[in-house]
Amino acid sequence: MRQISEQATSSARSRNIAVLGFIAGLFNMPGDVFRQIIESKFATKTKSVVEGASKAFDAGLAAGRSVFKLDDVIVGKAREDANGADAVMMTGNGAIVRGFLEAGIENYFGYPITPATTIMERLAVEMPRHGGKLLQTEDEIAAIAATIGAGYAGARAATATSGPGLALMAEMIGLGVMAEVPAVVVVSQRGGPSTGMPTKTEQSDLNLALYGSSGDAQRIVLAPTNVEGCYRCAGMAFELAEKYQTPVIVLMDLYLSNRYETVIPPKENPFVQKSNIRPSSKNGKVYQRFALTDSLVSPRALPGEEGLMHTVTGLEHNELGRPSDAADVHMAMSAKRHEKFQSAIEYPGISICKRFGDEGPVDVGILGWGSTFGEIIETMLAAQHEGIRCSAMKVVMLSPLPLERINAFFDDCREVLVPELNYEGQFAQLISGATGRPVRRFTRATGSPIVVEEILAEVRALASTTKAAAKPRIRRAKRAKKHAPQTSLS
Amino acid sequence: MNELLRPVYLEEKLEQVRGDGHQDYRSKSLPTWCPGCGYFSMAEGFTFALNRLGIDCKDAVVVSGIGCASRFPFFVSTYGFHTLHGRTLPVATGVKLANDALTVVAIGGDGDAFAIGGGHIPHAARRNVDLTYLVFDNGIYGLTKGQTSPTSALGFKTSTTPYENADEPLNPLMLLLAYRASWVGQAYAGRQHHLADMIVEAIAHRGFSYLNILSPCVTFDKTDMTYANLDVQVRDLPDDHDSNDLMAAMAEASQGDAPPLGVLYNVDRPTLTDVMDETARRSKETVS
Repeated sequence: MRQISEQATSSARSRNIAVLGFIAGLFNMPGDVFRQIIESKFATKTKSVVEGASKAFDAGLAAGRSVFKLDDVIVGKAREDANGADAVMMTGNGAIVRGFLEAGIENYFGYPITPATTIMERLAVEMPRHGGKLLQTEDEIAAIAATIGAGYAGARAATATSGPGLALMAEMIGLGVMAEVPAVVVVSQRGGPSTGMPTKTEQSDLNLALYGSSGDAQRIVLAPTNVEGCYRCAGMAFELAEKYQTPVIVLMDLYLSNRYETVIPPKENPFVQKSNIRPSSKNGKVYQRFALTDSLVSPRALPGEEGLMHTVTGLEHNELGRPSDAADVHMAMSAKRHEKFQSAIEYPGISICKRFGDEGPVDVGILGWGSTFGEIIETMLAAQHEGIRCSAMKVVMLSPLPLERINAFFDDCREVLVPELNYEGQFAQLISGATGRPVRRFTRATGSPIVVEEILAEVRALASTTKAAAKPRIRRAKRAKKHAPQTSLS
Repeated sequence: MNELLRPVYLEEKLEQVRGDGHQDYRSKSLPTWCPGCGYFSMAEGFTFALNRLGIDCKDAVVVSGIGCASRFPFFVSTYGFHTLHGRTLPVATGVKLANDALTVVAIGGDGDAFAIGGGHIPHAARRNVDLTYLVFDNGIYGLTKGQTSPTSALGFKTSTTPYENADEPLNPLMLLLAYRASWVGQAYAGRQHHLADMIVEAIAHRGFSYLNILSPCVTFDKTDMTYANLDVQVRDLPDDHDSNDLMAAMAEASQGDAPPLGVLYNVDRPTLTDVMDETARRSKETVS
């Protein structure tokens, strides 16, 4: 690079720009965009500086285009519906913040914990400017308690934490379920158990997110698979929480929290503001906070409303909200709390689960969730390249589970592989328990993102056992050989 | 006719009680407390205070924890949230921040406050959240049928301390003063009118007000915090007590054998909402 810089500008000073040109050339990117950036970046400098930098860039670009040839790298065309100005570089945590703000977050309560802290740090700057109130509480218990308190009073309230904080919040999430109070809890997982590996990624808090509390306390759990998904899930979580009157957990991990992706956010704010279902106070009857309606969601009165005073409680209660431990009450109310949000699996504006790759029957289906899905898609493409019929499905809504669509996926797959970043195979357990079908687990607890090559090896092994016939096997082997370099996509 | 000789008619008396309006704050649910429990005085004092202050039922929220005292919201006709053991104050803080127009009253017993919930009190107090915290202090766990609490006296025998309680009791008033609560007072269930007046003052205070209410558990405590004992022990604060003087308040609070009744400490300082409004103003001036 020193040489390229010296040859082009008779100075080694521009070697950083030469590297930029070299990388642009390596990936066959258009040079004009970079030249514009160079010009604007050095606008305050003398003309010779700009010329020198441009020359170094061009020399680097030429070298990058000629020195190596990367056959497998295809730079896709820019989306036609957007120009560069619409694209935003953001992290998963940044996307959560953007989703919260666009959905009109009013209250945030949090306690610092890696890797969720940056969500609170950014909200602390933005929320006061937008009329919101943010408080750093004394612990995670207080954070979720205040979130539930604000939700009870009608505000859009949220908190964010990691696994150890979620463990502390579990009891209060149960209160949110029982008292039917909306609340949004973002959880960015890290290595566990206990203090674990605070700066390493893992997907091992799934069970805690799904079940953590006493009793039958199902709640809605969303697990975005990419940065844009974090934005959408964060915004939609408020709507779901209000509509179904329940805590909603947005489950991500360190890898997704911290990684940058280019996102083109929608031009119009996609989130519905305030979607509480309100009671009509004029019918003269005593207000029943937990009335058993057709939808099983009861119209919710907020403190300050005339004539609708009531008390909510963590005790089992009747339709009025009065404590009751009668058998029929507990049966009816348990059913209410579970069945009221089953319709969420058809909820508009959010991808609940989605299938990619080959349609119809396939050799291997890869079922995934959360941040791992990027590697899963890459594995699927590589496997297809080798001639393996392969498709992948991501499940974003982990509770309630879109079982019908998952079963349909199973029907099409000879083998189902579930790769995930934990030791126990928590998602595999959930899926095989819910569907009653066997899955092939692939669990890694390395603290780092999953490796495509390792998943691919599993896919190959599964594919070779699914088809006993020799003929197609040889053909696939030939094709695999032909495309051998492709397998090193990771 | 001599007033003392005039007969008392039940209807007339009921009219008088209902007419003054404080019964409107009672719900149709009858309290589940034992007959003779000091908590009846609190229910009476609370409804009296809301009525006196002219706070509408719809504008008051009672947040409670778990325990005998925490059953309170069911017995009044305001908005209520019966939460988890020990989490009264953070839930109440959330309610207040979500809607500043509400009058928020947090209620719990001594176990709810100082055992499981002890970690939350300093923070609600130092932030000066504009809410009132009424702690019904009977020195025992009543709902679970008589175990020792953080305010139980040394030597007190309960089902979990059959060979006498050996833990030094906490002094709630000294704690709250050290936590910089902006209003600290104490009342006694056996002096119902004074109790009602104190609840009025506590709710009227702008900022975090803490009222410790000494209240006998007539079922599980036959020896220690009884009406007979407390009647003799309690005393009024001296007439010249300066409620702006933290050290004077500390000195009064430290005399646990002769519990002082009245307002020990009362200062005005910005509430959490005031501070947040100021933060919002500054955030709009700062360009980043």
